[in-house]
Amino acid sequence: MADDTDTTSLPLLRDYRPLPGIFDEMMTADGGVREHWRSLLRALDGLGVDGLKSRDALARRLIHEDGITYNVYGDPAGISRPWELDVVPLVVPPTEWVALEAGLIQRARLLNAALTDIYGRQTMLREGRLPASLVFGNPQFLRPLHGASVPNGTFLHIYAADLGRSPDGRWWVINDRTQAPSGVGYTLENRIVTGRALPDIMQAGHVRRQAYFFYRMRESLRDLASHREDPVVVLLTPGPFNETYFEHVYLARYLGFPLVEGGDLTVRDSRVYMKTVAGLRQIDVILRRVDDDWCDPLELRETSAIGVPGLVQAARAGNVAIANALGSGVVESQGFMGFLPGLCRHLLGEELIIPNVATWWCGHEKAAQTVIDRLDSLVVRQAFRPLPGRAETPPVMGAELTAGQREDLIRRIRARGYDFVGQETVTLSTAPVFDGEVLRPGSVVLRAYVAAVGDSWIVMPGGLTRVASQHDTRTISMQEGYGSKDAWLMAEGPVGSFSLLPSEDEPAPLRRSGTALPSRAADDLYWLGRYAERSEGIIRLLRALLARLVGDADPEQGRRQLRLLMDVLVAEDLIDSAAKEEHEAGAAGGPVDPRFTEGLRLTIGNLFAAGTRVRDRLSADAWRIISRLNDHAVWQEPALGIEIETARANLDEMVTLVSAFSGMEMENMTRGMGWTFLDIGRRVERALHGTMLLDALLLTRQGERRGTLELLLELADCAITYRTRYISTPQLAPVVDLLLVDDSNPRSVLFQLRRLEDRLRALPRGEEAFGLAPEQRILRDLLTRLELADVHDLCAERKGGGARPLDALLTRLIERLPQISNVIANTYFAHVEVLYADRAYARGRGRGGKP
Amino acid sequence: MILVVSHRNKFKYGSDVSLARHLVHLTPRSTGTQTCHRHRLVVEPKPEIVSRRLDFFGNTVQFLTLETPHRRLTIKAESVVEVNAVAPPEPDSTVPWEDVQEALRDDFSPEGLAAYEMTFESPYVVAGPEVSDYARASFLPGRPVLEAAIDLTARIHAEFRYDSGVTAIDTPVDEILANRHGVCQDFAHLQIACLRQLGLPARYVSGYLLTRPPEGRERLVGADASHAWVSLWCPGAGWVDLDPTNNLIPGDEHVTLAWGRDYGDVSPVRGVVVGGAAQELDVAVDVIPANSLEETAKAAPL
Repeated sequence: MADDTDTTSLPLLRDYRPLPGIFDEMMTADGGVREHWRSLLRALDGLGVDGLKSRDALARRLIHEDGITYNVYGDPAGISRPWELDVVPLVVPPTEWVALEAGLIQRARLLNAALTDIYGRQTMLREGRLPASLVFGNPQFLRPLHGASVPNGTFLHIYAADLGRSPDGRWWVINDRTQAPSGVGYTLENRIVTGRALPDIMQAGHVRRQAYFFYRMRESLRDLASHREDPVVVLLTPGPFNETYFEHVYLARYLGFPLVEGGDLTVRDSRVYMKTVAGLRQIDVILRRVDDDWCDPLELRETSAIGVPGLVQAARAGNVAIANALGSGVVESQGFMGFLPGLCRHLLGEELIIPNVATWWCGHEKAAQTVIDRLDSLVVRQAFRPLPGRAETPPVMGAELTAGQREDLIRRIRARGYDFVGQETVTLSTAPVFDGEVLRPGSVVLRAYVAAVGDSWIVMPGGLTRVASQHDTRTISMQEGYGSKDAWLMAEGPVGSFSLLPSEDEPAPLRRSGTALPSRAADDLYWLGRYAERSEGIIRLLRALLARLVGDADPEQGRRQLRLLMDVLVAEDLIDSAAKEEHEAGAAGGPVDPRFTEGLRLTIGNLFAAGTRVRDRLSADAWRIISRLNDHAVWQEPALGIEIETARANLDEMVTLVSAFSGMEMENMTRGMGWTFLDIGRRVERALHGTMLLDALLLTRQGERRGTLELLLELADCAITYRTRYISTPQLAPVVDLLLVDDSNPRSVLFQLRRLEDRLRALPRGEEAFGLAPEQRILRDLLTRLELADVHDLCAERKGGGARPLDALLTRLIERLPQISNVIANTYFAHVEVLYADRAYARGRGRGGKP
Repeated sequence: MILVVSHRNKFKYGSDVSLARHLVHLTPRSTGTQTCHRHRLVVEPKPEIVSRRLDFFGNTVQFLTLETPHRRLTIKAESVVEVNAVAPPEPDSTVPWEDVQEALRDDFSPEGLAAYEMTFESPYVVAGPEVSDYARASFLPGRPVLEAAIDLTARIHAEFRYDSGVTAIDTPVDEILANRHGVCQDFAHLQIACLRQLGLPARYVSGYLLTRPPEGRERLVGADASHAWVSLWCPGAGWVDLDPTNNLIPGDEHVTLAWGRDYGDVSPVRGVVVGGAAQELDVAVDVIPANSLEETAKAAPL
């Protein structure tokens, strides 16, 4: 495919010039395109600038719709921003890759051997080959794990190295990531999005696939518990506020491991269990994304609320395999870098294949002096992560310090040298980045991944490429907000197709349900159902309200209904009475009062948050709907002051989305435990909302009833049904019949309770349970009352204007429905309060006065 | 001297604790100058699971798991310990303090490494330059290390007010220095910070004091609760204990429970419980001398 015709004249490369003194991945210093880039460039050029633009736009849309995000610390909680992906991949030359692969595997072996010694006999320290301060002065050395053995002798199940290329064309290791390397999920997502944006080009380029790497990784993790029948592997995440939460969800779903938070797990007798709605289920392997010392508040960092108390004991007892092993973070320290060549010779009998960035650890006086002497050309970093409570000091460029800062730094290096390393600044190479018109050079760092498979290691073909939009010599991190790229290794011939799904020839055992549902997921699904339903109710209320504000309906009735709607909004706590009084007169036109939409904003926000936490259980389509709903909630940003007509159009669109979500869930979700909890939430909320509407609107004076009943039918989406049954204008008894006790109406309260009864019957019960569970008893009472009710009796006015039987029934429903919710929460969601006895002990100490 | 130690911790919770895990450092170590003859831990209600191991520093740690709902928990440790203190080295015979760090740098023996480990900051011993300045007033150039450390101990005793209830265990060392008050744990952390700032190995010792002093001697501070002090490593002489709360070098009246980098490594009871809002703790410690081991068997049948 590639020929030697000149590729430099391509329009895309119009402005492309390698920067002086910097290695460019694509272009040689004299302006020629490197051979391994030619076929890609020609294919990109074949798309034309407009073609590439539309592919780029497609990639952005996919990222947005899939909700691929990255949370940036410092942003207000919950705010995440879209993942930045440049559609043009980094092409890695196959010959270089062979050497890199060998080097990466060697480094994984070396660091694993170092960990074995550090957590074992410590001969490296006793023979003086490794300064003891790199271990003892390192907060990531976890003493409770010393002496514990790890399954198969493997500490590092997945290891990552950041690689940068210097001007002379050599690759260097900039960072080692050994405890819970991030980015694997983003790498996978980058590959999938790039593949969808450039499918033809990827296919023609014979790009090596990554699925096999994930397959081997998954199987190796399972094999860690091969002694157990049907071992359970989970992915442990710190939760939705973690910066890379998206990829935890993504990876969990891709690998087929349940996603759990610390609170989902519990340790009993040195074994780890997952709390599920059907009881405790033993866990064999934990792929963790929680940092080392946060994993167990009992033996590690005591203030950690995201860990699992007792996990260290379980690990020591060998009853659970943790990947990577607890304590693996100790070798991430930059201080180790300088010692790796020596350790490699000693531990492996080999020369280090990929060099480190030149690093001087200031724990040795001579090295400290070198760093001080060469401060202008070095970057100085902390050798270790800070102790709890001590702030992280960002790296400083020696050349950028003021005289005072410089003096201060030198003083600190002299006082506690072991805390610092000096490193040469890496002049990173550049690769082409599409800026919307042409390609321009941007600095790149390649994060490569190595996975342990049994006694050997494999390297992921390609990796996560992080890129700056322009040239920047400093280290690139996603936290600072750079972009990313896919990395392509192009093979000579077609690559085999490989999928994580089992082959068709392999007989799969039949199963009707997945692994047991974790209690937390049940909780989130329940609330997802409630919030979805609540959103719909609020949207319908707002739509009716806005229509009356602009005076769409008959003016007199419109005003009356406006007042009624305000009453409902106040009753449901969606607006305060001040807003009600201000608007009761009805102001036509103008922007929407943000107070009206606040309740909807909050509810959609909650819906989105609950959805985020169970994303691993939702289909991509279901998620897209939630994500679009959330986009619509943006218009409600109070400051925007949206016009009523625009708002109405938006609300119409939102009703469609909410209905699409419930349709998706009704038609596409298997009737497993997850769906059961989602539907329980939905039924409870719809029954409650329907009852509250009836209660709020029917308590009004009789004279206003005409407009009231019509409004009720509108809000319950039952106007058409009513009209087809009764030609006349609405009357109380038929409306109550339709909305309260008509079992054939999917909007009636009785309809919800019947479904709820079915769902509750499906919930797992303890072995000793007999008869009705408490929530079933409450429900049965309500059902019986509705079933036995005579609508005409219910609606009959009492002499002297006393409460009708209807009012008492509605009140009972409003009181009892939330009780069902509470009982379910206590039984199945197992929310726990964790308290640290340690702190209390500390307060009770040392009493007694000075004599 | 033979001592019978009883240390009772009574927890009271405002609501049921459905699951509790406690990590307990209440077994006295046997050391060169101390032998733990007998020890037992009595826990009420009875834990479902009890296990024990030696921690990184060689202390016995016991793990208790209680799975039955409870509102009260009593953890009582009873021990019989024989203390045979040896005289500390002559302070002026110890090496100049500046030489300690030098001696450790190339000492790769297990003892040397264990001492070197105690020169680094640790979670409860993180200090700023003020601490170092405070320490330097005692550590004049060339001064023998133990002499300087004793001077520092005396200064802390004289310049700091013993005041319970004004600090918590996680009060930063810098704050203790600024406010000049605290309890024994705070003084120990402060002195350790001072020593480590100068590159000297210092460890945290958790233990007890004799409750009623021998006749004619004053009752020591911290005698009715768990106590804490400091140990300094002197090349050639080994670890020497210093008690800044009482300004003395511990002898037969101090019982060593455990040692580590700071309180966090050896806290007597550390736990995570599920439920149990509003926790209260009542601690009682009794350390009583006995004439012989036989007598302890009768008086305190463990």
